[in-house]
Amino acid sequence: MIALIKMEGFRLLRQSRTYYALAGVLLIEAVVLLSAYYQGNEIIDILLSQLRESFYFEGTLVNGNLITYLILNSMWFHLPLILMIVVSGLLTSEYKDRTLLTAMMQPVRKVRYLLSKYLVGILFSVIIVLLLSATSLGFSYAIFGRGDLVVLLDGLNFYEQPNAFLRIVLAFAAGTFSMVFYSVTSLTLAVIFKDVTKTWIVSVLFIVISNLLMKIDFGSGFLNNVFYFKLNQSWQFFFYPDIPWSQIILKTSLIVLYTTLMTLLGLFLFKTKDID
Amino acid sequence: MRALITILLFSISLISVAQQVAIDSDLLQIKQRLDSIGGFTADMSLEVDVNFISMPKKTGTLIYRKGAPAEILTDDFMLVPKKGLDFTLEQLFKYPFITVPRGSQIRKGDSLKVINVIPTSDKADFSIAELTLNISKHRIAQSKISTLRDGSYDVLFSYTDALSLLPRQITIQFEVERIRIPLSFLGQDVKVDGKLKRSEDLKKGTITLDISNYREKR
Repeated sequence: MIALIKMEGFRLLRQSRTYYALAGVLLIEAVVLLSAYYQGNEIIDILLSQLRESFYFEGTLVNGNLITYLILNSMWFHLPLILMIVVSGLLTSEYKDRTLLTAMMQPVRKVRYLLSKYLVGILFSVIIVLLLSATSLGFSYAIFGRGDLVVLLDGLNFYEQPNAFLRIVLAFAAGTFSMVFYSVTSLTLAVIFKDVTKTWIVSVLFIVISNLLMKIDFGSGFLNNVFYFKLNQSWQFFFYPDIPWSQIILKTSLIVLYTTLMTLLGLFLFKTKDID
Repeated sequence: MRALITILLFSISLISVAQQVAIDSDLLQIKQRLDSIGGFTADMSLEVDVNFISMPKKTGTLIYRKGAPAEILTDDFMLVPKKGLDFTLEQLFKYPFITVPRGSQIRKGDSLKVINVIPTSDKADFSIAELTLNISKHRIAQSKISTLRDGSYDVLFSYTDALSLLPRQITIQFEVERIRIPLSFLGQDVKVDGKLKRSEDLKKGTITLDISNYREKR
């Protein structure tokens, strides 16, 4: 199994699309960083407009923490897209190059073979989120400095530097679970569709539909809590003054469950289907 | 003509006398004490208590110079109240005014006198103020000021000891407009387009300033 994981890791590192994805993440981050700077000023103006009647503002709120928070908001849409393209490529490229047939002629179990791809996909997603968090915090602090983070969630909440940093790190950690879910889903879609283009199109569709469904209020608290697309915003809970840990644990556990089910589905389909 | 000049002079002297009579003598005495403050720096901490704002306690340095608005220096972000930091009530006494007595009371063993300050000049930026004077200790205990542009606010002064003229704590109560707040800003389900609507109701907000370590500034 370890040999299979090493092989998949090697394959991932040899893929040019992996490096395109890394460059893409950094490029998107740079664009978001730039736009966040201007949007940040606009947001602060809107947020504090009512308070201007009663207060002067000493110091600035457009700082590294706010910019990273804005990056967090934006990246949870763009990042799954990149991850799904790269991770699904672990299998679709093998279908395309017909190397899968060669691999299956070797004494290797189909389930273990695919499972190693899932594990490498998960590892890759975690590494990408780590890279994203390190670079966004690093660049934001270097360019915009440190300071209080203001977040509008059931009121205006101000967090001082150490507290803001901790909440951002925890939000990245919570977001990692969603990213892993999307990566695993893309690999399962690759098992179903096999073709590179078809898998990409379906993956993009999956993300777009998930984002659209996320905005729908299903009225029932139960439904709003259990649908996978409602779970991707749990990172936002870290920006409430009192962090609702029970909600976060519940939602994270559910997303782990969905990820496991999606993996099992992929493994089952891969095992039962013939390789063309 | 002579009669006209006599009437005019008489009227002017009458107005002048009325003006002098109309200003409360205890207030004048306190004003004289306050006028002796040229400036100071002090350490301060600020707490904001507004129901839709959650902000940790902030610390900084308070700088006050006579004739200039109070400044707060801090490394953090701070909401500095626009009103209530006029330690010598300069803005209140800047233009001519009259005072009207509104009674007296005893609070914690101190004799307090309540007066209304009404500006007689259009240039004043307040319409009416209610001052509670501690006539035992010759200092301001409370002020309620209705401004023309910034609403009304209530300032309560607490002092370290009987002789202190500068407060140890200032509590400023004011009205602040509640904003209708969406679930999140910049969340994927929230569009920020500047159309955040204001709700009609006004909320009371309180700011508490703890001031210590006064240093005289000349």
